[in-house]
Amino acid sequence: MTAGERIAAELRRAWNGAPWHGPSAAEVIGRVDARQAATRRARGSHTPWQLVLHLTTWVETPLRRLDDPAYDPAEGDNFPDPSSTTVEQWQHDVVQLGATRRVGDGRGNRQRAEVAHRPLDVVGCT
Amino acid sequence: MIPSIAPLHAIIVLNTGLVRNAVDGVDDAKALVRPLDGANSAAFLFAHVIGARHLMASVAGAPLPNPIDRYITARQSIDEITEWPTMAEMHAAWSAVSSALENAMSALTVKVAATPTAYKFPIPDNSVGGILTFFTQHDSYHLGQLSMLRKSLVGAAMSYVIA
Repeated sequence: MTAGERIAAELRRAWNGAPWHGPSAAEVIGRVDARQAATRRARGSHTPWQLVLHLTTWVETPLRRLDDPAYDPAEGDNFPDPSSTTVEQWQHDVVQLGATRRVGDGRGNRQRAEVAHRPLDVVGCT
Repeated sequence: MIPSIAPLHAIIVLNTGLVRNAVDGVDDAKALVRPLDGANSAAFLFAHVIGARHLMASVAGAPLPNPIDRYITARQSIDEITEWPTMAEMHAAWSAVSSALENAMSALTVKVAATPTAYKFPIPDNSVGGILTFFTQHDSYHLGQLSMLRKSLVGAAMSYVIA
């Protein structure tokens, strides 16, 4: 197994497999409704909704950097506010995260061998 | 460094600094606070990742004694720990084990990385490289927990700028 295959397997387990730490991210997100997702638990903390959008941004960013190593998401894309807090918007944003993960898996499988030998000289802020 | 270890090494080096950033400003008293019922404290998480890095260093061929092990050994949960290491002790232990681990990972050969181990973790690959991959993700998972605790303990987000 290559390093890329091992790391990808860990990320898949953490997303929707059976990770060592308990429920997967997808399972946890699936238990949260729109009202809970929009609720801030503590002052200064992010809402679950913002964390889902944050995840989408940072799953998407390395994919975009495969084509454009200088790509950086806009400042507002780091922890964005949802465009609305409806049930439909929450479902959309959760589905979007899952879709971005699947694109990442597919693209990663195709390009892992090539990318594994690129220098790690672009480290973004997450 | 061999290609199968290089990305793990890069993450470990990054996490070494990020864990320091996550507990920056967390003093001995704050480190014992448990903001959520049943959740672990920053002291417990820091001690836990220090212990895990000692195991990683051992797997990578550079075992070293864990100076805070006497506080934690034989305790099954946070509630059983009665005496805690200071944050200064944990920072020192973190620096020592991280340096040993990073050097050991840099020196791994293809043959050693592929060698099966006797460890039984919930992963399909129990080679040295597989175990190091598992614990690199484990390291990152607990770093995330520490950074979330940090917000309630010191009121500021973890910095990604490594000193």
